[in-house]
Amino acid sequence: MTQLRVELHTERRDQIVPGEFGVVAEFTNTSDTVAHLNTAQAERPALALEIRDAQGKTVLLRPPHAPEKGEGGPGEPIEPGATLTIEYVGFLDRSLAPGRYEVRYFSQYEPLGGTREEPLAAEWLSFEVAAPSDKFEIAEPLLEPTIFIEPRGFRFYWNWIKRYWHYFWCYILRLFGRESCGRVVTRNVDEPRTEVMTDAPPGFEAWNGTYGWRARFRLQVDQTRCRVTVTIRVRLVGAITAAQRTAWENAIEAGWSNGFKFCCYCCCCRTGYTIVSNIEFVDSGEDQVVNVGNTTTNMGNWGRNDTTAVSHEFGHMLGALDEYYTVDGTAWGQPWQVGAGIMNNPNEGPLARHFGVVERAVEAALGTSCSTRATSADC
Amino acid sequence: MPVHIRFDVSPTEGLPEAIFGHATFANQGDGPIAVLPIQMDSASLALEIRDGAGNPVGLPPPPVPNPEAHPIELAPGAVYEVEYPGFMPQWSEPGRYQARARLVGSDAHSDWVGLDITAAPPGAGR
Repeated sequence: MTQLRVELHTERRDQIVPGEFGVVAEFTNTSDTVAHLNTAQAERPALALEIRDAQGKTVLLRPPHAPEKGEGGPGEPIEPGATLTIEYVGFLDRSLAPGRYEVRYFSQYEPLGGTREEPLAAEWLSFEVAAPSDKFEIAEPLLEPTIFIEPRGFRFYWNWIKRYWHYFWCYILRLFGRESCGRVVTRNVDEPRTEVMTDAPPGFEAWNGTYGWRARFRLQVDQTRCRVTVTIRVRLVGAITAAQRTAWENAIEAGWSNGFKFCCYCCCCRTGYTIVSNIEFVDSGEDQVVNVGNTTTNMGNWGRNDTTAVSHEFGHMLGALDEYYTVDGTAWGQPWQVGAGIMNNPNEGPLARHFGVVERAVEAALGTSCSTRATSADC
Repeated sequence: MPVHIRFDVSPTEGLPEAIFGHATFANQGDGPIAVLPIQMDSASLALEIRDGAGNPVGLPPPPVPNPEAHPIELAPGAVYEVEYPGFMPQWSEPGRYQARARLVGSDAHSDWVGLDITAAPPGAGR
């Protein structure tokens, strides 16, 4: 368990101009002892922030400045319960294509608050880059003065060099038996989740409120099969037939399996780890208790003949938040939109971002960073 | 909105899954009241819970509102009854809680009802 918790905030998420966009990272020491954060390093967006586009593809940031003398070490002390904030502004490339993106703080390095086993990670924060328009004045970046001149095409060659260096390094590691790709890592995940829903229209005001639950599942990362299996053990309370239970199982497992994979920065499973979801009905040792009733009324009360809403509720069990009305400040619009994914429209399947909590758990299990992509996409 | 709400729990002490809630929403006015049934059926929408220190206890989110669901009319004198099996979150810490039922969109709510969550035996769930 890391000593620090980090949360990202921003004043504006929609129609932002990339060069002006900023986020504030708030670090809180949740432990009983003094924690440290090297702010000189943490202030550098390229070292501490991860950005991904709507397809889950990583958006690269400008490289950080070379480290200066005296910037090493554990950094500033943060007393138990105390909070420290860092503001990042102007870190996005001004030519970033319009569309929806997500940003988070992520580090597996001790000076930046994390470790390989327990990276320090914030929730993904989504934002939308506006289409270029004459009415937007392009401001100079406020942070990271550009001393690095980036000719067109440089990034391509740089990525190419990085990728093949990585392949070469992996080859060396495997040659000397340092990386066998035979690990099977299993762990139980238990993460509290909350969401604040607002902007429900007249007639649906009852949906406005603060909700809380726990995402609980067993995670297995299998390098021999390049597969991540997420199993939720559910104990049912109430009468249900075997056929009804099987219908739940089929709907959930078909909806949440094989559509996405985790692409992780490591030497194994370079085409990704396919995500397989599994619901297991148990008599004890459960992750969740579900009461069986006539209709589905929330994550813990499922309708015995319902196979649509229960798949949405399974998403909550995996840690996904709702995506209709306004949730935690993000305006998603009306529910049941076509193409908006299962957390908005339960008739649809999940989207990459709905595996966010699972992704973090895989990152912690493997000690590296991962992104979620469609199974058909390249890593 | 002249709705009288009564809320009981039974038993008043036990594991979260053992606590059953029972609410009645009675229209004591002269005219009909239109209300979406899910507003009363979902514990997430109808119940408020607070812990021993008075802090609100969050319930999981309600289901996505059904666009085809229509409000029902609660005629004068009519009573709508709902049961909330195991409405307390399974991860509730042992201790004293209070719960009440409400109807959002009105000032109507029941009295607070006290209940005690007991510790799960070792090995049960996690």
